[in-house]
Amino acid sequence: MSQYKPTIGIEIHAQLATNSKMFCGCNNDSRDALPNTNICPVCLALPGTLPVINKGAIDMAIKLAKGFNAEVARTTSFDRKNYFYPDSPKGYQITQMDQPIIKNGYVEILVGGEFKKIGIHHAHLEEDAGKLTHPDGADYSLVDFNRAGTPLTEIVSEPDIKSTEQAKRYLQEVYNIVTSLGVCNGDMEHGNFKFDLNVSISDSSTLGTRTELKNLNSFRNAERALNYEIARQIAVLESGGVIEQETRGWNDTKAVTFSQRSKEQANDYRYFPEPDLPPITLSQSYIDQVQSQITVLPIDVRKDLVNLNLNADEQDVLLAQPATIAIFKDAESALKKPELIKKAVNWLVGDYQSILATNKKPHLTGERLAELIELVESGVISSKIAKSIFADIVAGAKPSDIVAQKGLKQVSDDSELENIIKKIILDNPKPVDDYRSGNARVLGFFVGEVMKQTKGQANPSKVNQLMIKLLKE
Amino acid sequence: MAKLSLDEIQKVALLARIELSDDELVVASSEISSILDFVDTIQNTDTAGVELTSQVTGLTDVWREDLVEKCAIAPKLLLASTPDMQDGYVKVKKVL
Repeated sequence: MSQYKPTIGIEIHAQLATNSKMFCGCNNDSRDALPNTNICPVCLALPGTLPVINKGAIDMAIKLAKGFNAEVARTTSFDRKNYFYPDSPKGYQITQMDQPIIKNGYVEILVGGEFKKIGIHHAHLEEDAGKLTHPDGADYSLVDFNRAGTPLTEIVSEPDIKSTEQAKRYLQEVYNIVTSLGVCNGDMEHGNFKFDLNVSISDSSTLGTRTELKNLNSFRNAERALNYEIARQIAVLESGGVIEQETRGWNDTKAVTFSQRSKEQANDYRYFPEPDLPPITLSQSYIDQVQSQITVLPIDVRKDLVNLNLNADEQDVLLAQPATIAIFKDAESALKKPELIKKAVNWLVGDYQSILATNKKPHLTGERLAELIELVESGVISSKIAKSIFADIVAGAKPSDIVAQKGLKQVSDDSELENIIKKIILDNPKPVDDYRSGNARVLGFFVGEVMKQTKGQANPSKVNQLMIKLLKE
Repeated sequence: MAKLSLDEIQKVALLARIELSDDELVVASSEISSILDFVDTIQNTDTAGVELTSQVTGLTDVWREDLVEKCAIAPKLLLASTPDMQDGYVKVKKVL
């Protein structure tokens, strides 16, 4: 049996989180809108209307170029892709063919402990179509044009991806980039981030015939569809068949890919330059100005986290949450020492995540997280107390305030602890005898008693030390 | 002369969603072929030194700030010429 190796290229469609649509002033957020309410003569393509480019979308593309280590085209222009479908009011899509705004970049992915570069051929701007729904059993379809004209960026990779694992890492990394730069909301359930996967296999250096898996919207399905498709292609070749170049869909319930013969071929789209939109020229100083707003890129955070020995899952938890990354970066600069920074990360991937599950409006800042860690570090509070007040801190409390308010300061004062311990020794003659006759295990009982009486505020190592000393007296 | 086959004309008609009768196909074939001849003539023009042009206005950077502007015309009025609506959706022939 031959050794077939897959080659994968990915096209990602990410909806841009602009306020208004790509070519008109309609609200771009229709999550809570009734169907066909965020519409106007431009996005409905009524006769006599003209599109006007949204500068916000251009700025987002300029930021993305930085995230992709890519060039921003100094001159960029739009083209028409012609096709008829009920979700496309104009009968064409305004997109970019000849002069895409982003060119020649790469994304670094971490696979098997090493960073690998996946080339970005280009990324361009275009508009989304309306949304079609097909009611069960009905002989009609329904169209909502609220989404028509939503800005999209299509991110086209080079065929540099050599395994399902790499494809998954690439998708995750691009997702992290678009969400952390604030250019995409990343709500995958609502189709903010979708992708097409081009897959071929070959047992030589010549590429095999590729199939395109269309319209996937979850990382898990991408993985399953790729595994299935690679196995299917191997089976076809092994049985002496040939791979047909075709578009295939993914059936989630049956867990199979299936042939979707598309009606139109690429040259059927009759692309031509969009006459209604003059080209955009971007100066280097403007590009620099927009890109200077970017403070941190996910790949830099990932490299930090790798250095702190976080595993891939922990890295992904943080990287998928731009707001949490911001907390991490602030805590990092406040704490400075790696061992304390590691503690900050532990809070953020641990307790903080469970709180986030219920608290949708967290108020944790990097400064406060750093303050909490310092309080534990300097012995003011125990780590147990820190855990117990963490939810309050996430809800907005300042750590030192809540410690003072609730009187949670760790009791480290020798005389105070000694008094408590002496009383416990007096009250428990039996365990004292046990201890003195050689049963060291009862020490735990005594320490527990001290903790009970101090409501967990006693410094445990101090208690141990004093307890042993006083029991020996 | 660039002669288009009837099959090619049929395909172009399909892409444009135009229904042509057999007679119209024949007429369209000769008409479109003569248009292509004209394009051939233009393509033979010497354009060395002429800048590629798809815009004649000389304008660049026509854009707007990213601000939401609610359309002054009510959605109902915008969709007034729609043949069929249901629950606020535009109803079309089944496409899947």
